[in-house]
Amino acid sequence: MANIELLVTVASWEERFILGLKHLLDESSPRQLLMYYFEDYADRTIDNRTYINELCQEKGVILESHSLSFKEPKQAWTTIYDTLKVDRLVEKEIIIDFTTMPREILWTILNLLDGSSAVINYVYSKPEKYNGIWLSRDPGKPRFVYKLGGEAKLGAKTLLLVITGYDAERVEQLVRFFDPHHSLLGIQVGNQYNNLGMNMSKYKQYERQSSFTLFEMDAYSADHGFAVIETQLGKYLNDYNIIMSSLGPKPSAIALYRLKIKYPQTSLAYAPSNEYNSEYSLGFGGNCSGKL
Amino acid sequence: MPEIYNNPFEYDAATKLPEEKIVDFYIEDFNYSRFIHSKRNIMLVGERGTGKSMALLFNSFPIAQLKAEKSGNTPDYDIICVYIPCNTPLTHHREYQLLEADEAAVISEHFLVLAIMFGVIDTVSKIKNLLNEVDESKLKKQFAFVLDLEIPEEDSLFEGLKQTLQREMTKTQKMLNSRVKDAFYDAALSFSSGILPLLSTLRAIPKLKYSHFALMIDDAHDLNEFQIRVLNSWIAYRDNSLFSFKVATAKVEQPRRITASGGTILDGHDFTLIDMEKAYQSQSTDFALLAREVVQRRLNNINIDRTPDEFFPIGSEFQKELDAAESKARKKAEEKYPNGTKKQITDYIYKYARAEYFRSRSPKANRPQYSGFDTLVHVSTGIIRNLLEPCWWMYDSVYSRQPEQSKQQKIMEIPPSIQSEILLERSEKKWDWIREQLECSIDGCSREQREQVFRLFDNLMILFRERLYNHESEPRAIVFTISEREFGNNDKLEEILKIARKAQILYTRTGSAKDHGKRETYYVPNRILLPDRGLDPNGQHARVSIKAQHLWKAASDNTQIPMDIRDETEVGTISDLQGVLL
Repeated sequence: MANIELLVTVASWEERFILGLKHLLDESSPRQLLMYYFEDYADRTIDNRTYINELCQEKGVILESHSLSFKEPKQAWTTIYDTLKVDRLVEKEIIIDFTTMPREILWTILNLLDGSSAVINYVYSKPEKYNGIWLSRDPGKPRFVYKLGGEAKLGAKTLLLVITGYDAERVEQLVRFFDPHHSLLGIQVGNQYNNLGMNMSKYKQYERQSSFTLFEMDAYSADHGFAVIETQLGKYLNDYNIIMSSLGPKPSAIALYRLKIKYPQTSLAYAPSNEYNSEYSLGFGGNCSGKL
Repeated sequence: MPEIYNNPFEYDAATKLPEEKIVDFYIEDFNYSRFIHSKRNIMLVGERGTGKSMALLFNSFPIAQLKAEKSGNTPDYDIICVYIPCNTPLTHHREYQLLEADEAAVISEHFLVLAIMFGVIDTVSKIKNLLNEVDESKLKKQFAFVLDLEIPEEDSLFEGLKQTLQREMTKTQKMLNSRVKDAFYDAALSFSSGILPLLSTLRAIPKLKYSHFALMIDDAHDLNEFQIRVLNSWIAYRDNSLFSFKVATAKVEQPRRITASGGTILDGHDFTLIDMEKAYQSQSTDFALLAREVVQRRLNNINIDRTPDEFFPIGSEFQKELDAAESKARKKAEEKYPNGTKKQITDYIYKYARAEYFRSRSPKANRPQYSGFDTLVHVSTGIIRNLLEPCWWMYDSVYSRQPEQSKQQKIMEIPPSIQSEILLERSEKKWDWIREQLECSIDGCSREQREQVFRLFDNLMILFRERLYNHESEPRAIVFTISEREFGNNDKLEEILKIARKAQILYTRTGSAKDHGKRETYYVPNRILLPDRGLDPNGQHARVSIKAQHLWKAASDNTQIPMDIRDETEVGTISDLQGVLL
């Protein structure tokens, strides 16, 4: 890649953050790195941020670093809005490294950049493996993402689409919260990261319930499941208010964002967690990338 | 799924049911119609599954009209009940948070006003023959003038109005979603520029000349802080001749009662509060009777000619053992009261017969066979959804075990063994959920609190077990009151109890206390928790008094709650009976 104006990332304590970002800096030589970090986890990320700072100095990359708050989404949105400064990015090429970026932040950045005529690339570094015990816990109240709440219709029924993850309880939380008329649950195929045992088997219980439809999709495919999800949404697009959320493989968030832009009436919802495992993942398992 | 799979115990939210099914499912005896049909403002409070939405929907005009048609009557136009759901994507928009407070309040009110106006128009558009002999074009101009909105010429009056409101809604959302920090919509509608002129103009239609509009706001706890305040201001409006509000909301963490101008609305003055978890009706509509009617109607709807007791039979062995325990208790009563009155004997049997059954079981015996419709009613803890959910799983279990060639046959009963299996399975799942997952589902619950809730309930079950096996006077008391609340950690205990209530593993009721008819709050653990511990979900008419610090020690340090085998439990009046038992 050449002439990359900006690389945007969110700092993490995970190994894949450093390994993936270093690889990106080597390969793409951006003019500037915009690195957000969460003040709630500042202690955990300080070593990696210091390392990236040194790396940027060494490579002559301008580093701008800003803190965000997990607990105050308004502060996070405003900070991103003020620091991204999209007006300067007209027709510039940008990379979003969303490896350790919460989906809400990814969607916010994509949406703000989408308003400019910037060329948007994205990269996701997969881990070698996830922590088998727990990844995140203490989920907070689900919420719509600022500016991506859609254009809902008065009097229409609600459809909830969730790309499921390892934690079936969080799907139930979304269903309880939004109380949809019908739910579509997207289940990741394949046995990567022990998917069959950790994910697919947990959703069998919904198969006979008339208010649920289960479907299989692959977030690691070239379109991250876009076409499959679009087909599933098809018959609901005209008559339902559609809420979409991703709890599963992170690249599915790209597919959901594309669907949101294609169908402005749909909404993107984020289900936050208040605690992440300090050993969330191990190693670096290659990356998946694309252009928006 | 073959068509014969028609599980009659669907327990989805009322909002997911088609109008016909609401008419079919709702039990008219259990109605709040007299409150909803009054011109007073009403606040319905209760947790999920207590029937708030069903009560509102059943009284909404389209369903009232359907009901009237079915019975060959004319619907009543004096009161037009309009159902307005709040748990919709429109309520979850958060862009108002990016605005200054004044603008946030304006936008929030605008969203709520549009939703109410749409609900009103949608409802009146379903009134049959409403516009006969009405000059629609003239009326349309009138609406356009008073609302200051352009209504499409080519559409009918109500379709045009609906489209106009939708257009306003889309314009607002587009504006707020624009990639600008402080995007605002400055043509916002308010109560006085939207709802009032709409309702007043509707009265120009002859059939609605004297109509009162009951605006039924469901799930008001989902409204944002500005919407709650403005709704409270409307509730404080003195003149209820044209409209009133019927607001349904969760019982735990009810919305604040502050108005937009900082005033307060009061129960009894500005509105009447109805606790949906409490017996408000006559003796003939108590929960046991209601539960029976609900299940009977569900069975009738799929042409199963069986009573609930026949469809959910009690296991013969279980019944035999219960009968034997009752005989034993009778014998003991007659020994204790050689010249006793009939009441003394029956009271003794009521208290001790079931305890006798549990006490006489071998310590090595399997858990009792939980079967029979009465058991299901007790397990439901007085919540209809808690009753239907295990019924749904039982029906599903019988259906899935039928061989393929028999799947076309009607299911005529749920065998006792399957009833028991499902109740134990649901009970075990509930415990697993508390032990491992509670914080994933309950907003504001930390992992530490999840552990505390688990320990508290675990110790409550140990206490109930101790009582069942050893207590001398009230062995089957499985509800409790809290005494001596003034202690250092009461706030923490209250938090734990609040989480348990939000999780619906604990319910509260009020009843008369021992102290000269004073009212007190008592706590009812969800009885689905009892089968897993081999306990009797069929409780007795008594309340265990537990010191607050003992509850806290149980939750925080896993300390067993002490029991005095002769302690006196509190017994409420007969009017509390339903609440205590269920």
